[in-house]
Amino acid sequence: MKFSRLILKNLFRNKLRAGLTVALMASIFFFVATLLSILDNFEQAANAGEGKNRLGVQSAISLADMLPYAHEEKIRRIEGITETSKLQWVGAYYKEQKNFFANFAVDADKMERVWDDYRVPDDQRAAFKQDRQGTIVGPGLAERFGWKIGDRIVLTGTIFPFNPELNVRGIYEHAVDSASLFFQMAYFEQALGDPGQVGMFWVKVADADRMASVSEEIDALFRNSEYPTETFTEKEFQQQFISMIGNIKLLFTTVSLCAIFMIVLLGAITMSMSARERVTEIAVLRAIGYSRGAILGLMLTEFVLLALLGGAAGAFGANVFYRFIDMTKLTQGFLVNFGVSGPTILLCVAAALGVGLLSGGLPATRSANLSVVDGLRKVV
Amino acid sequence: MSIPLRYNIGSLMSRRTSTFMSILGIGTVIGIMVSMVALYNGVRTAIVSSGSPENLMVLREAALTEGTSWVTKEAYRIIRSLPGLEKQSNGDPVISPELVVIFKLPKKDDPKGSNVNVRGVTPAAFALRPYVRLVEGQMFRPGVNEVVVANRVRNRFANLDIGDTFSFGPREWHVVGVFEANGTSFDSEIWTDADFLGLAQKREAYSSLTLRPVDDVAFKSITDSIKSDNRLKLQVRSEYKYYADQTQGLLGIVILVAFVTVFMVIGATLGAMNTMFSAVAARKRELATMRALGFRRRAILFSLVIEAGAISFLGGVAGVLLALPVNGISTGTTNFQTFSEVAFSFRVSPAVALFGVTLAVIAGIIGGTLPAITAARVPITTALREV
Repeated sequence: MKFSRLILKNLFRNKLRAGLTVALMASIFFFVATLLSILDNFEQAANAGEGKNRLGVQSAISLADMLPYAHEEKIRRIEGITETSKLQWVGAYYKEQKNFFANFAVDADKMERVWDDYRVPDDQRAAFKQDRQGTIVGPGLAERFGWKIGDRIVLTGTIFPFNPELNVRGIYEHAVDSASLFFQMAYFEQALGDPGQVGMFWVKVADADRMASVSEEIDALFRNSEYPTETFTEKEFQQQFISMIGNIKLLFTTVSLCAIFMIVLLGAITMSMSARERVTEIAVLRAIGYSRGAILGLMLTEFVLLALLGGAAGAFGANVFYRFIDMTKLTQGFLVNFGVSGPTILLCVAAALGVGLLSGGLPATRSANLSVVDGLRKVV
Repeated sequence: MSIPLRYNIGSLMSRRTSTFMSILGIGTVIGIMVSMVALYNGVRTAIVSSGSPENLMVLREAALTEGTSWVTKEAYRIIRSLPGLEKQSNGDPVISPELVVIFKLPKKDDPKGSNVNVRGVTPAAFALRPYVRLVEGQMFRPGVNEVVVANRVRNRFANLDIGDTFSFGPREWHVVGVFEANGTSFDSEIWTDADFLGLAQKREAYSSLTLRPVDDVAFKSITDSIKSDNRLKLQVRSEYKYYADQTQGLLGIVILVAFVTVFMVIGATLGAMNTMFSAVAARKRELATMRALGFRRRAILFSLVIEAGAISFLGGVAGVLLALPVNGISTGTTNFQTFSEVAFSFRVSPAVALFGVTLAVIAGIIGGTLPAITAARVPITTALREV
């Protein structure tokens, strides 16, 4: 601690260089923090339904195949299931094709029991149930398109040949999902002329321990039927979409590591420069009795501090930046509730520590091992 | 008088280690950027090159993709008899009714599987797309459960070699051949007989019609007659436009690539700036001596900017070289417009390489200017005195 003043003085002896190094590290760590947070965000989305004891039942044949209504009755008879609901992905957009978001038709009277984590005020829920063309929307969606309760909105259908005309009856609250729209299955059926088939059933299981066996039972029930099913937990359901994107985890990790490698290299240049400048000074310190270890410690601390400063600035900067930026709008709904979490900041700061040690290690060792006589003689 | 380039080369060589490290550092960021652009280029090429501007594509009104479209056999017969269609060698019009169904099949590295487009076709599909050719085995026979599989699909999915049988829904399918389609999105598909696929999947309508008019006049008249026929309720656009519109499903990749590019250019700029500040600080006296010898400020400034440009040019070239190994790596992603896999390869095309090097040089020049100005401004006497 007694050297802290010396270290601080040295750190900012060349303000421009220190500033630039910090800026470089900060921008790269901002970048890395963003990539890591995107991975985090996907993970979070996948975990959204955790503890809700919900299972989704889908056609095992493909995403585009549907299941007959008769399945629902059979599923409901399985012990341990408390409620079931149909859910249909509608794939409509609002006004322009780029205004794409998740919209579903759902059994209005069962929604509150299967999706009890979507909280809606009682009066809004009642208004929704009463209006066949009623809809409940997420707060993010309402903000994005300026919808208020009572508004009439018309969506354009793409998968099904009809354009849902809906009245906003409620705005739900949910911990993670803020950008979905639900409307009545009854309206959907009426518009399509009773299709008799649906994309998914969602079931609520009474007991978390029974999830796996219920899932097995459902699939076993239809294994040899013309419409075999595949039952997912909510997490697996979300993950299938994330894994569809491709191996982003590998991509993002590789890119982050390469970017960090770059700052190790460029950091090393700056730090050797700074060490070279002080050859004489260090020789003097050694001459008045500082040990090699002390010099090594002093220099390395300085370099590590510089890197930490950059890393922290980048990661905290990203944290603050994304609070003020509407990422949902910017990415057109791709990233919802995007933010840089504490663990991500910590990880970045730890990586910055590594960068400081790696890039400062060589110059610091060289300075520590400098021959005193040579150092004193040398004119820089 | 300007400072000879030999001076810059000399000073780069005398600081060999740090020059090399700067080049490698800038190279790394440019390499990342080039790889990402190559990724986007690969996916985009795979999708866009599938469509020809001379062909017309017919889908259900409001359908965005073939997967959610249907065109009745009645509509097919009406459109087939329109005048102005090009003829095949056997005299049939070049109009290809196609049925697209999604199969979820297990992948080699993921037993849960992924969605593959299965396209039911007639011989007209091959007349429209002569680049689709069989590379192994034989063509499927009409009316039976035989399929041909794109080479990339065979390599990524389990159990799709010639002679293999896979089950989908209630039926089994035999793989009899492997085809290639010139890097288009058909390289991500399985093809079989349209009528048999319709029978197997209980689909009475086709998904789309693709047709080739004889000339621009016919192109226009066919478009108009389909649009104005109220019975049909179909939309029609050029096949190229259809596939270009599909790239909307790649929005996520576009945002990502733009983000990476911006940050890598910032990184390269700051990197070049850092390097040049160090380089300039190391030779303050040298530069002052040159000023004393009569070189003008502007000459010094210019010379230093050139040096920064040279370092970053080399960095850019190193970046492209570092990115070259990813060229041709094939992988897959999902087009969220169609919800099916697009197999593609990273493509470091000359344009992508040029883009990388150009951005590197721009970053170098921007990054080198400030240190150069600072260096050129220092009063000679101060610099000469400095130890």
